[in-house]
Amino acid sequence: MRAMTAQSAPAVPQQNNCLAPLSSRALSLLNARLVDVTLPAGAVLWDAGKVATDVFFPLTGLVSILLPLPGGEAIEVGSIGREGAAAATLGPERTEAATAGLVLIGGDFRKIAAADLFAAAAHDDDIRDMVGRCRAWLLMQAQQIAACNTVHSADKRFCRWLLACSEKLDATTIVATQEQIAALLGIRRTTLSLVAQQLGAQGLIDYRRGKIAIVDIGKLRAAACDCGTAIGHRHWPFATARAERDARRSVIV
Amino acid sequence: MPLFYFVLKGSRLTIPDRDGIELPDIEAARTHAVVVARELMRNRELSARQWRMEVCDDYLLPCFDIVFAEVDSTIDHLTPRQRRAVETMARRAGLLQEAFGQVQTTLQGVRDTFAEADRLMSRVWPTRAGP
Repeated sequence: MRAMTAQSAPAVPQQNNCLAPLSSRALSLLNARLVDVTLPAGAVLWDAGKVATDVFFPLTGLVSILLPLPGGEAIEVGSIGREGAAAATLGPERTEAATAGLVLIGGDFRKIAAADLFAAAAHDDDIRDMVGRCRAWLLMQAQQIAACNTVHSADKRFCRWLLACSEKLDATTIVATQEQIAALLGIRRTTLSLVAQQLGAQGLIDYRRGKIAIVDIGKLRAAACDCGTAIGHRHWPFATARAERDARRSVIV
Repeated sequence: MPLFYFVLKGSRLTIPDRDGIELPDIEAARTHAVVVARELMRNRELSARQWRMEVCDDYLLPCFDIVFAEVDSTIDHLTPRQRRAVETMARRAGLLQEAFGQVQTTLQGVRDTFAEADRLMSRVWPTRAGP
């Protein structure tokens, strides 16, 4: 598989938005178990039908959660970047994974054994809360994308996908082949090529030699379906946690 | 295997297929065109029904075309006569849109030519340039 990369200029050290807000007690429980890894695009984090053992916290990369179909295709039902944690189930149960986890855009990740994460969650409310939010985030994406695939047109879905990648990677240029994106969206490469050129002609994107540059993000948002907003950065796990903290503080004050 | 190009003609805009795709024969190209047309039209049938897909060979010569209305499964419930009427109207509306698009392109070309001519004239006769 050809490598997919995101191009951006990170001004600050990259961090995972779920790990960063944890208390020092919670971090001390996890830090000894967390391992830093750099993974290339195309790396399989877990396979469908097998028991997954690790949980990945992306720092710079992006993981695509794929649901394999009997025809050999695999449709994207969610993606996880620096905003969440990627794992087959994000639960303590050791069941066969229904999905596959594929590194869509290579980068740096923090990895922990699922057993260690859930053992730590049993001793710390912050970690338990974080895991719950990440699981809810995966479920929320899957539900929204299922609805999106049913009722929205290919062009709107492509715009939504592009915006999600851009937000999760904090990048405005994404390198990806048409074959890869078409497969994730469950459409033919020809369809994606024509949709991308339409958007290019309207001045929304510039797609050349496998590199997608977002030219006008405002127009791209307008062209995307509302699903992009429904699962946008305001609904990321850390954002919901912060909103709830703020609400609690306002009640106390 | 022969190479086929799938050119989209819709909304006053012609979108060329830059890469093309290798397919065994023209029947496979027709099947592919139908699938792509349905994917492009899905959940926007009303606005895309008049679009047209022109399938060209590797010399970019048109082999055949498909008006999206002809493969629109959301109008399968219509009687054959009603369906033919919708298809005919869609084809005519599409051709009209394409003609409008071509007129717009020509007018833009004329505007660009005049602007370029003005620019050149102002270089040759600077004093005569402007009102």
